[in-house]
Amino acid sequence: MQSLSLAYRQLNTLILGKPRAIRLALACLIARGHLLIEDLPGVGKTTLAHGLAAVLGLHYQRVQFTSDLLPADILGVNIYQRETGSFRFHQGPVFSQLLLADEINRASPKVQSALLEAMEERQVSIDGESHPLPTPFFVIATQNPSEQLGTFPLPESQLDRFLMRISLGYPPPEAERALLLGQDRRTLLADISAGLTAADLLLLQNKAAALTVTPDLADYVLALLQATRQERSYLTGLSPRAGLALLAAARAWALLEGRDHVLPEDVKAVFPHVAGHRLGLSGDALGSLKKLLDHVAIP
Amino acid sequence: MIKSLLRQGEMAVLLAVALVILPLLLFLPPWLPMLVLSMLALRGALLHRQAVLPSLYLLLPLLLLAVGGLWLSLNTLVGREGGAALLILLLGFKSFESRQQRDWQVLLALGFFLAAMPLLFDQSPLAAVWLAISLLVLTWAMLILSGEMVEGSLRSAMQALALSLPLMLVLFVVMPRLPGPLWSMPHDQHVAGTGLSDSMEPGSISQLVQQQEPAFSVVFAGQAPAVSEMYWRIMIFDDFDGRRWQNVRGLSSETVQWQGGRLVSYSLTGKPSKSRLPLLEYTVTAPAGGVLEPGNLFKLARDGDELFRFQAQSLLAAHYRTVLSRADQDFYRHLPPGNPASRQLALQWRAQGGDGAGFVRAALQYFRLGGFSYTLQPPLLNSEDGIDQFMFSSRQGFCEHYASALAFMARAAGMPARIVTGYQGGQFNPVGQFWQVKSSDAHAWVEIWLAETGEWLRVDPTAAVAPDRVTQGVSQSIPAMQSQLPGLGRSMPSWLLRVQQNWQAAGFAWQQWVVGYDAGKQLNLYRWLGLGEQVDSGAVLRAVLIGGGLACLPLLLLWRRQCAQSPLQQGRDRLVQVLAAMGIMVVDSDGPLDILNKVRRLPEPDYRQLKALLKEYAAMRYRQPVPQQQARQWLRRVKAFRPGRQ
Amino acid sequence: MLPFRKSLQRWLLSRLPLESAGRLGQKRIYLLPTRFGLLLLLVALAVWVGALNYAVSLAYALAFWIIGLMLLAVLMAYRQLSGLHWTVLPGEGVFVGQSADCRIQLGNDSALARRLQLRAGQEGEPLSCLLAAGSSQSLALPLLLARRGRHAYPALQLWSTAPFGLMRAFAWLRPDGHVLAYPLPVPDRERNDLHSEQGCGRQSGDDEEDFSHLAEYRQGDTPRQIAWSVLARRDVLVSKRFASQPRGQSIRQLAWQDYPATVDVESRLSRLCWRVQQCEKAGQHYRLHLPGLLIEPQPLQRELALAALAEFQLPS
Repeated sequence: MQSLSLAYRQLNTLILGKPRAIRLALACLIARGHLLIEDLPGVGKTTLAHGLAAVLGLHYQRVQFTSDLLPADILGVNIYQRETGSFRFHQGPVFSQLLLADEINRASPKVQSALLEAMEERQVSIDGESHPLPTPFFVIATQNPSEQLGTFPLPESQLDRFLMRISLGYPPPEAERALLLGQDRRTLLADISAGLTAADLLLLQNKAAALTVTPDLADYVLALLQATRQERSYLTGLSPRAGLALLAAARAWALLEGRDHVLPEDVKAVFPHVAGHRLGLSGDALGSLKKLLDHVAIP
Repeated sequence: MIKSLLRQGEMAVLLAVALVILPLLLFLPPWLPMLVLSMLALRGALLHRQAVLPSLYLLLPLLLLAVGGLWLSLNTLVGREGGAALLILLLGFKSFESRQQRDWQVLLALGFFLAAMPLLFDQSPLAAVWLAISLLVLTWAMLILSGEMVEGSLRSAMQALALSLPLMLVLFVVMPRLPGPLWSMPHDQHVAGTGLSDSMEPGSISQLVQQQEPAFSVVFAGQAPAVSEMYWRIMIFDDFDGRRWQNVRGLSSETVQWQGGRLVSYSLTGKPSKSRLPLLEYTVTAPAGGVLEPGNLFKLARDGDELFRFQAQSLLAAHYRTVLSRADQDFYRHLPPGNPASRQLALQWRAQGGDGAGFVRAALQYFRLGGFSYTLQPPLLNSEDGIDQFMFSSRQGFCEHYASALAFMARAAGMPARIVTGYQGGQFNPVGQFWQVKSSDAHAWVEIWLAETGEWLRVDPTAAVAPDRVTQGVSQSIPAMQSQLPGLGRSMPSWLLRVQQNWQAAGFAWQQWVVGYDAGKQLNLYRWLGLGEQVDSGAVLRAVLIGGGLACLPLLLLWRRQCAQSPLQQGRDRLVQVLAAMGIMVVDSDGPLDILNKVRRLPEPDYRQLKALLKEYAAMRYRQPVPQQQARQWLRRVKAFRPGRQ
Repeated sequence: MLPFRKSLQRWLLSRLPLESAGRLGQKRIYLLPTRFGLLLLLVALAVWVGALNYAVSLAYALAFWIIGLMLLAVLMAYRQLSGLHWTVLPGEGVFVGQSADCRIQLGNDSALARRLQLRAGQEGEPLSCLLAAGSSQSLALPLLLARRGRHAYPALQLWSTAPFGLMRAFAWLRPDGHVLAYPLPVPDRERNDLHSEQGCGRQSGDDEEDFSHLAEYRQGDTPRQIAWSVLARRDVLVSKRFASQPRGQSIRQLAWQDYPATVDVESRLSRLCWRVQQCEKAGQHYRLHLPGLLIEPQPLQRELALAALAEFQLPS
């Protein structure tokens, strides 16, 4: 736990004024989920991803998605070797512990599908051969919601491959001031030491998954799911799988809060970020989810 | 799953009915309950194996065979024995015919009915305990049959019975008891009749008195006579063998001259015993349907023990004058040898009193002042000279002792005397406006022939010893605590004596208030409680409403406890109220930490207390669910929380 | 069954409002003894009469104890229903001839478990449910839909005879919910293949892209792309290039007017329904044209399209 809080502190010095977003990102990773960051360019998405990789001591790769990217560019290719007359598999960037998929909505649906499939199955199948991805394996994808031209929005049915969607937003003024006056983030990044090892992270993940969830809490989660299903302004309610995701995220959040059991507040903390993209809400329409949280009584 | 559950329910039903009929082994020919029990066991085995049931064509002849056997051994199929026997036989066969849940419910209902059967034979406290056990297993079977979980079902059954117990008690006490039976039942030959026996010896009447069966009922036209004037004659005993009085002679005819008296008309309904029915002293003309025998006794013209009803007129307190021949006088003076001391005393009385009336006065005075006591449990008179022993040493006895002694004394003094047995007194039933005479009113008294006036004079020595007996009945004149143990009193350690006395007192109270709780007692209770002067519909309604209301209190408590929200929810609601009074609005969607956040600004002590309470709340709901009891403790702490107070 | 029972029921139901959620209270709960309860009452009466006749005091106790149990059963049966929450859940549409689920959620926030049964109307097959203290459960009552269109949830009877089976507490609910019966899909292969493409799109079968040309081998080309014949003949590694359109760009048109006027409404709807299904299965974008209604590709398009077909020209 100490190393976890150290990691948290380090990330906070790296990304100023965004403790909550950092905490959510950490929770997402501890819950073994992938993270979608939806934000404007330049608010520190990449830094956050990089920072996460650094403090968690993960092997990190970044791919800038563009429209001419091919699935093979992500997953890897079988390369023909003339010398031997046979094919050898060249791992793509997806074979890393933390993959930053920058501007994922710029790539063609084919590429998106390939990545999302790999995320789901945690393996890559090429020419009938499967190659398992390393563990832990995270994808942090970013996308810019304001740019519509020449983008391919992620298919809704596949959005729930991401456990959470968060946005960073502009930093608060004093944080921005400190940012302007302070060191370059990149040099800071170099200073970050890995507080955790991959093994530590696996341990944390197991610990989170074992946190107590009482029937009372399950009832609350059910009530929330139910409320989304009854709310007419959403096209469809949350699925049972979304309920499991919500519980996993709440567990991770509770672990970060230093508790061995999950409280409704943990569910409330992660709910907008788990539910928003699954309900097809845009990043700035999360207000309705907050309202929903205020209306659903804790049973 | 559901099917196996139901099978358990069926097993429970079989078990329950088997338990219910168990005591009938004592009262019916044992082969019959044995047969039914083994049938139930067989049915259980079939149920367990899920085997095919035998067909109706096999069962029906078997049933007829069993009924035939029943007829052979009991000679009847009705009445309480025949009826009970037939019912359990049907129960056994019904179990083989039970397939669907509905059939099993019928079987269970039959079990409830059969629980009443042993009560027909025995109403002791033990029978009551068995009744409670029967009801418990029946209720338990009912719960399981209707699909409740087996775990905890016995506890639920107990709870249900405990909750309905007050209701039962209230109804038991306030529901009007009807006078007299609705219809007459054929007499069971195996059970001794409740009437007076052909002879009288010490103990013959006191045994009868301990029973509470109604003997007959009477309705008077117009004003009823005083209770102390109600002497109901049935039999006369004219021969004494030193211990037992019997009717030997049976006068063939008698010429009576009635003098004085007040005319009273009455109608009497009762079951004749050996063609005899009681008559109120002295009934002058023979009622229709029978003849007046000498001694002013009534004998029915026909045999049989069906309920009989007749109208008659009696001359109350008339003088019963008749001429006795010399031989008759000698007959009524005959005594066996023995009892010298008593003979001497009798002659002494005769000498003191001068005439017959004087003798009677002296005798009654002796009984009144001689330290005699009236008791149902007199010491055993085991000496040859029983009368002497009674007159001079034990001096405890019941009416038969006194009557026997006085008749002996009169004869010893040379005066013709005989003993009359019958009933004395009766209880007025205000609901039915009639007088109920019970076997407990059985009595014996003496008639002495006064030579001076030629009159049979009624002398009741019991009235001299226990005046209450003739004015208020036997139960008032024998306080239960006074009952003594025959013979053993001295040698017993005092604690054992106390235990036995308490046991007897409890038995007496049981007899009086449970088994003998009747319309009269009910009326007294109604009056005492101020519910009404009569047990009429208004009073019963009042009683049911008030009593039922009280009896429902436990139900109400249970309701509040179980229907209320959980203690945790209650406590949270309570906290929300308290905080609202302090201006902090907590909404339903707030979790414990949210609430804690809202109260952060409160003064430190309050905040600390709230923090502790909320922390516990969170732990109990979301960390480790706790038993209700612990949650209730927390609720108490929440209720004790007052803001601004340490 | 009493002759006026049906009309009584109808009158009772007509007084109930349509509700999407509620809590059962005193006004809604009715109590009647069950057959077994009546039988036991009869037994109590018989025991009472016997007690009167034989003057058996303890038999009075038995009779009154049974009466006491009956009264307790009234209370306990009432308690099974009292305070129960219910919420109507939206039902999922099915095709005509299938049975849809009327879903309703029951919630128990009291500290005791409840044993309940639920059925549609008078004769439906009952569903049992055991609601633990402080839990909730959703039940699905099957409802066979024989006609196309919107079917309101039937009136529901919720009852319990727990714990003794002596008394039956029941309540009627009129849930404000409905299920849709979509038209029965009828295959229409002819129009599925031809006649259906417009705009810039070409039909993209699974991965059947048209061969365009050969080009020099690039790293990452799959073995399938390599022109093995060329390699064999000339020992030059070249890859096949295909001309393909990105998927999802072509939009298929499913239109009411695809059919001649002789085809009746139901057949048209059935065929369109089948084609919607096919498009959904293949992940094909489509546009559904109905008179006065156009359903564009959008999230949940399947549900919208099928609902439109289900309710077409029916009064809602």
